[in-house]
Amino acid sequence: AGAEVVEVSLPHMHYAVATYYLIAPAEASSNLARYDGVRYGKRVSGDSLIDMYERTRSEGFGLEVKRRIMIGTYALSSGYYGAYYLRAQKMRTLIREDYQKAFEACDVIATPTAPTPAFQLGEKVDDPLQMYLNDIYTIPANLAGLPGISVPCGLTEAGLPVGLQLVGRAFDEKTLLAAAHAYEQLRGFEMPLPGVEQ
Amino acid sequence: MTTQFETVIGLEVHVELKTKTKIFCGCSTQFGAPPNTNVCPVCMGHPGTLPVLNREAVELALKAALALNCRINQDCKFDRKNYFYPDLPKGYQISQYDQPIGEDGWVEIDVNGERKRIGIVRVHLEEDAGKSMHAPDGSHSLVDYNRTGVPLIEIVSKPDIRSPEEARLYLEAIRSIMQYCDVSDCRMEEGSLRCDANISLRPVGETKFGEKTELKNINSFRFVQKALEYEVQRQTEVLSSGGSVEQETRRFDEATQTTVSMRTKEEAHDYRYFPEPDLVRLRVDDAWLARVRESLPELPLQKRDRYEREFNLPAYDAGVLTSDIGVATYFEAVVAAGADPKAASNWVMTDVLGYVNAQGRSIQEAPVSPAQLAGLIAEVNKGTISIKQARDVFKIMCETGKDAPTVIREHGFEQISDEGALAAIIDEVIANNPKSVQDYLNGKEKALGALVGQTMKATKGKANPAVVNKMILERIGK
Repeated sequence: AGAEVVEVSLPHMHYAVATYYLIAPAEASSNLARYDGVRYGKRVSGDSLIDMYERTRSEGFGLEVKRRIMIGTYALSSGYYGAYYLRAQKMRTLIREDYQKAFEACDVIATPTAPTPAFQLGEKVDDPLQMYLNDIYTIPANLAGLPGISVPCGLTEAGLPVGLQLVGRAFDEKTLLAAAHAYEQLRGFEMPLPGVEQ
Repeated sequence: MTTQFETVIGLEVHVELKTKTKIFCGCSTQFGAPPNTNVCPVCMGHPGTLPVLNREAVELALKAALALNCRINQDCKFDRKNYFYPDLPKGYQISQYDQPIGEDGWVEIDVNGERKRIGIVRVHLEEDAGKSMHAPDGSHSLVDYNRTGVPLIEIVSKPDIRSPEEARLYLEAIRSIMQYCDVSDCRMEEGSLRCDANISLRPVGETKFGEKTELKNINSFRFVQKALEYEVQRQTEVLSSGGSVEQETRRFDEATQTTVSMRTKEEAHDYRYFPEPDLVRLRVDDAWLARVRESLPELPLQKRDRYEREFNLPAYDAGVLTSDIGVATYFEAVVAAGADPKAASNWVMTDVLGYVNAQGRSIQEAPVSPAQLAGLIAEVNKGTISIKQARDVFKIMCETGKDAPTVIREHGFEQISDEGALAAIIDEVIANNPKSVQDYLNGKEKALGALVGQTMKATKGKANPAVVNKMILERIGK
């Protein structure tokens, strides 16, 4: 299809997960504050305002949400903001700059979509960090505000699907989608449907 | 020897901007609407809603900051101030933390005849919260979200204020400037101007600040002064007896005219400020800033100084006339219509303001127009009527809306200045009041007034007093 493959370097990429998991929970801790039982949604009565807030939010939020709210609140707290949220935002700028530099040498960046094939449902749910590490390839694009797409590119020996991620320049979905389409056409890969006799 | 203490006061003033709609959504900002009728998903903090900045709010904030002599931060941003309270739908207030729209300004006040500058640390934009009403028995609270999202500017003064009286003067100056710029109505009773005070004392000569108390819930300018006076006394007593002032927040209790502790420093919030991710940075270009600067009116103090200079008005008059832009505008129109400034000043301050104030209305609603007032003053100058008669004419003008010449004609107010017409009456008065005549001839000047008075009575107030005075003197010889 006329594409040329070059190697590019994104030197700050190994900080991306840590960066994201400071910024996103921090903003979520603030965004989720509106779920207080006052104006809409679930409300659990309490014997004071604070009691109502605590009961409503304890019963209303699931484990992962609570986890992120706590991480996020911590990262924004007085005395910690500079070390966590602010630093993460600065790292985010470096990650964006990595991409800007890389896009001087290419138009689309290819990586695996995930570091491992799919694991069993519930297999890692008790290990949040392990769960977060699945996002190492997809998170950087979110931080940099870039469009990304995942295209099926094959199966493992065990028959599990593998994805190829393509990331393009900001607002350049046109090039990205064209590249994804061209790959899909060339690869000619037929994704077997689960549970269907081949 | 007892230590003398110096009072140090800083004020935080919140001013509601008079935009048509709220700062981040299209809801009306109209005061007095039924509860929870000027609301929408955005200002109610419903899931998935996003703020969109109201340009007019920025325009008014710029105007206010410029009028307060601030340096404008042409590239600034918004931040989230996070805390939980039922009147704050999103659980955070969108405000400005470290990059406010205006910084380093000042305002001038006249204290004891001296002009003094009070510094302004910052002016920033933020959204208002809702209004809570708590049931007296504590069983429940009600929240009205009409006010949520109304644009505010917060004006923070430097701790340059040195007395409760200066604090009141500062507030009056702020209100005046905001009204002049048409930025806000600044009505404390409607909540469009709110004030919190910070006060501390320190030994005279000390440069370090003492422990400060924050005062809240002060609902009028008068109470600001009272609350601060109480605090000066309270803190003086604490310090004089060897104690130390606790850093705390106190609320002013109107019933007892005292301040009561609300919370101590340990219970203070951590607001976890961070830049508002849902809004881009605010960039004010040079052209916009220049346009706003151009639109600034002549400010209260400038106008006051000009009235003293150009119209030769005493400081008191100039102060009263310029304290409200409506009054100043009215007064200037009366002068423009030809009236003498001092006469116009007297009539506006006493009669016009007296009338509208008694009716609880503003000068814009005065039934007598500036041109009509100028017409009345002209009739007095021409000698058609006396000042005393003019007061009566004015009342009738207020009631009927008719102009001076018409009222004078219809009610027969014309002053009698014709000596021929007065001669007979004056002769009769002199004949009937021999004692007064004798008293006058014996040196009692006031007796002349009695004779004039009798003449005025006989003519039902229509005789020209100056002419009467002259004619009586001609007759009784001195």
